[in-house]
Amino acid sequence: MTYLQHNLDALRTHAPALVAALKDCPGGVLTITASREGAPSATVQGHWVHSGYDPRKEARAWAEDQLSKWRPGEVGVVLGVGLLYHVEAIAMAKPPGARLAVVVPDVSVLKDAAAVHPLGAWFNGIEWVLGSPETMAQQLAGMAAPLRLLTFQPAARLHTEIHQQLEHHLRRAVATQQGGRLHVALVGPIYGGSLPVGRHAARALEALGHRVSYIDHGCHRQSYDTLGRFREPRHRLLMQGRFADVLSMDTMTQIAEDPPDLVLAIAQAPLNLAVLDHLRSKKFLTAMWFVENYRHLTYWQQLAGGYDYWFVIQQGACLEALTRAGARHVSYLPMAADPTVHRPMVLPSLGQEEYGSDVSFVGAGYPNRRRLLPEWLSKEWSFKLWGNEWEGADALRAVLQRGGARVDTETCVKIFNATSVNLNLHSCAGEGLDAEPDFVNPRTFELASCGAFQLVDRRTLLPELFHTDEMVCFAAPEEVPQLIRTWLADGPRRRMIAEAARRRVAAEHTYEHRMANLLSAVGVRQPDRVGAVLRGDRSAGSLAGRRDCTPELAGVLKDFPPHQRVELKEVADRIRAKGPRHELSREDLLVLMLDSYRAETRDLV
Amino acid sequence: MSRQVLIINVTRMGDLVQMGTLLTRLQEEWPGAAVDLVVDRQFAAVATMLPGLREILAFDFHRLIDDSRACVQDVVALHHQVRVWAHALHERRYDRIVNLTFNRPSALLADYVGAPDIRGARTAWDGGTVVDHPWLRYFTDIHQIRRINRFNLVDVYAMGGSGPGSFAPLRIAPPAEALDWAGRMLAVGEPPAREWIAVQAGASDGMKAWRPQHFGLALARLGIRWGGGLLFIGGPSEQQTVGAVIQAYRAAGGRHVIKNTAGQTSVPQAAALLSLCRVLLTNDTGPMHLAVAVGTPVIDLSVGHVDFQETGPYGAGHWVLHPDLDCAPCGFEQVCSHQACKDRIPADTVADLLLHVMEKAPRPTVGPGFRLYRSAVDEDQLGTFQLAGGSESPVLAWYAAFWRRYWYHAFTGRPSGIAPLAGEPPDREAASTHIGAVLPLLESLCRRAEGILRMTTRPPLAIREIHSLLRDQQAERERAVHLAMETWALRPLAAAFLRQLHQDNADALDRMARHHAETYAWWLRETQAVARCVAPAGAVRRRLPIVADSCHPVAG
Repeated sequence: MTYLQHNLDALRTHAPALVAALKDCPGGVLTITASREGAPSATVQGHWVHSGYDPRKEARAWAEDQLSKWRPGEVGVVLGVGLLYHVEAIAMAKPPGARLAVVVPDVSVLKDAAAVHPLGAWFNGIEWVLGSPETMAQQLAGMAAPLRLLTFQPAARLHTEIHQQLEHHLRRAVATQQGGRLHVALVGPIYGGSLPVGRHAARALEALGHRVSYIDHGCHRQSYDTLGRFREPRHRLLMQGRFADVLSMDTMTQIAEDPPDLVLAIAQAPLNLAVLDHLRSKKFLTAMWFVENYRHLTYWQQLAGGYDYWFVIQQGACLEALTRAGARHVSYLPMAADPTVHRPMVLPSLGQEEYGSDVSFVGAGYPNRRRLLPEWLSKEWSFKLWGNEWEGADALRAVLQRGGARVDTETCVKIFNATSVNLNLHSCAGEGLDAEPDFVNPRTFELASCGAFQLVDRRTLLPELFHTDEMVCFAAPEEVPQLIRTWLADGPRRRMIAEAARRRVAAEHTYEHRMANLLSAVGVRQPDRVGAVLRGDRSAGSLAGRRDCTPELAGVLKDFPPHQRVELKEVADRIRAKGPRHELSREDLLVLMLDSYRAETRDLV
Repeated sequence: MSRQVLIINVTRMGDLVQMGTLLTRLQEEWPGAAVDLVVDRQFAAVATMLPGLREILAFDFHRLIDDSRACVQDVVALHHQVRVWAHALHERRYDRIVNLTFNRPSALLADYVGAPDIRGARTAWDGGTVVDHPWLRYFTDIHQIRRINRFNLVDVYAMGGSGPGSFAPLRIAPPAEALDWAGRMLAVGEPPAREWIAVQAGASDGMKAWRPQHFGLALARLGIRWGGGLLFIGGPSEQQTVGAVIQAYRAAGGRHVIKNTAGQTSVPQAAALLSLCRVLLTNDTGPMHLAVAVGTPVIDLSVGHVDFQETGPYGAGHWVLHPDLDCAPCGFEQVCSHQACKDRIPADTVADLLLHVMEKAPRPTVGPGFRLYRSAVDEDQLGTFQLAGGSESPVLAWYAAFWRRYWYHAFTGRPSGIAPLAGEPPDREAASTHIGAVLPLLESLCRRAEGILRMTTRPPLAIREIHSLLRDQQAERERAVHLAMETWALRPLAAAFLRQLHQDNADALDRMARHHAETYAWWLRETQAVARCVAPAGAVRRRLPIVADSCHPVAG
């Protein structure tokens, strides 16, 4: 027996558009199978969409868990349709008046659900969201309330890509609303390529109007290196590991002394799992921007469950690997450039002489570079090689600058600007081009941001970042000499392409873009915290107008500029600022009491 | 209508059990009084076992800390949530609030709720924290005079929250189902052990935990001299420690039956288990007080920053082992990298003491490096500890006894029932010199304070002149405090003076000056009184004024 007609009849008055869509679609996506308990369950390509034992019990447990996160005033948005057991469970359990929406990427699935069991009155209270990801995002954003995404993973798995696109559009919506001032504790590494990324990210967050506490571990580099003097690798690793643990505690202590809205770690930041677990138990939000190749640096496997949010520079298998390792939220966030640092410049003739050449390469001496760069030397052009770790590269000795000393960012910018053709060869452990050429390195963005022309090895993720008229790529090492020859001979086109790339970076690929995107990703998932701040819901004006705001508190809030973000600390500071001659009211006492609890740190350190 | 009392006791399990005597004393003072308790939600289960409470007002203070600190909730939501809860308490119109949580937020809460009589930390007019009741003021001074403090916090709470009275032991009543569960739990096993030693090896702060390997070794040393079972208790976070103890115990050849319940019991279940054991071997922790309150003898290994004189097992029948080190007990803020005090207590002695408590061996002899104390009830019906092995510094012992009688008389107005001290302090010469140096400074400070008071009551205010006088007064005060802090004859008064001086709670300059003048006068008066007891006239190098009845009968 099918319940479809019965359900469609019941729906007709409340949701005629949905009924029409259901009639028009074929259905048959789900394979219906009886569960042990007797109620119908479903599979898709062998994967269970609901429990094979007791789908209703599973749905109730899920709903209970989601309700603990769903705050008053938020619209609950269910991702994952399936047979709707979970939607029914949460619709029945939600507080009266709470709005519940269900995203329907494929109406056929909903038709399958409507065909196998009768849908109760709860069904009419749901706000159904249909259409393309962009349309659905617009519909959700138009609800004029914070959104709480409630993902029922077994069913949502069917439409992962659409959900990702939907979230992407939602983030953009949040990003355009960004106005509130967050406090971000940005944790940098001790050393390495991600060190400047931390500084760029900090500057970008500040430029976006947020407050940044930059926890810079770069100052510990010398001590860390000193611990590398031990001959026995076990001793060295043990000591450096312990040192990183101490720095982890250092980070925790700094966070305790000035608690942030978000702890944002940059790859290699010394934050161990124990501290991350402690931070989570104390309700701090944490995020990691893993600006490394996940195939080469694999410590993410141990830390995957430690961060609330992961942002990575690779897609596909990388996202899946992190999710398998226990990461709760993983998003793609490519590298970027900082136009205030990576900028076009005209060097004086002496500078041009020092830094300039027809062709140059800046970077460390990875095996593939040692193998390929000698092939690209020629008497037809001058060549300069900059960077460190080139010991033993005899074929390159003649072109190596400054004896292989490390090159700082400012010098890099000069070299990029002074070079006609910059080579950008992504590093890898093999002898040729990267066999798995997916992510795009920071150098690509930095060169582009400088308005410098580059030849870059082909990357699968490059086309969505730059158009073909903005970047020249090579697919094989043999192509490079001819490309150099061609582009050295064509200065005007070279400059045109480089300028187009620069404009693209300025428009889409700066650290400010990345940070805005990162914060909106967190904001979408934390509508009552980061999301609320970004929307301006924690501004004095918004708070004072709230129904649950007492007249006494509203009075204090009205003393602040209406757009200023105000938290408990600011209200308490305002009371204290009335001075030592001010006699405290009973309501003042309550605020000061709350603030005293807020200032507690003994449980943190 | 019966009286209503609100007790605020938020922070620790042990503190809750330790207020048992106060609950009894309140019913003696106000028969039928309705007593409510504000407690953190995580300790509500402990509170349910306390007799004499009308209502347990559990609030999740830890969640409040987390939510406010990480801005999980905005200020409006936080304020609304706490106001609804606290305002309902205000509406009850309590006759007395006893705030046993001596921190700033609880002081603010006490004043927000409000009562005509607030004992313990409360809020001054300007938001500062003040304590009015002498016993609870004494509580705030203890950290400066720990070496000579002889009042158990159980008595301080009871006398501060109510008043003196007959000895009232700590009592909790584990629920019947927990007792039933515990009985069945211990009966399981083949063959079942006839009696059990309970072991609490963990602690909320690692500083006050004896080392796991020492626990293991001590228990293994019981050997064949005793044939019962070992019951390990503790919270989920203590499982690793208990594991280390068991590993050390097995490595040392221990073969007794073991039951490890760490992390697997509720607090009522743990209390029920303790009630069925012969003895508890423990660090100074909450479970120690639970054992005391269910009538199980305790051996307290008092190491790190805990001081058994303050928080040791209350009432007769318990034992304390304490390291003999100049730094023991150390301060609560102390960070110690060696923790050598933990190696002073020999595992053999602990094993022998366990056997002695179970009447299977004589009392162990005490060698150098540690002391053995037996708990008791003294003539004033207060908990006390008697030295049962080892030796104490004669100077500290003399002054500890002196101040014990002195403060009891001063705070209760009743003479102590403890026999007066025989003889003079062992450091009489040095004490006399200090007193002789301090007294003229105090007299001068009193004159200065009176002078400042006069100026503040005479308009127009000569602000610059007052500031100058205050600066001179401060310099002289620092000299006097420095000198007084160097002798146990005067240190407790100096500590009390400083606390009293800073807790002015006066909202006008003249009132503050009056408070200061009175406090300086108090300091001088009390110092003169102590001088007459410690260093009789002639010993002090200057003549003391005679004030009738100014010396409490503390020295014979």
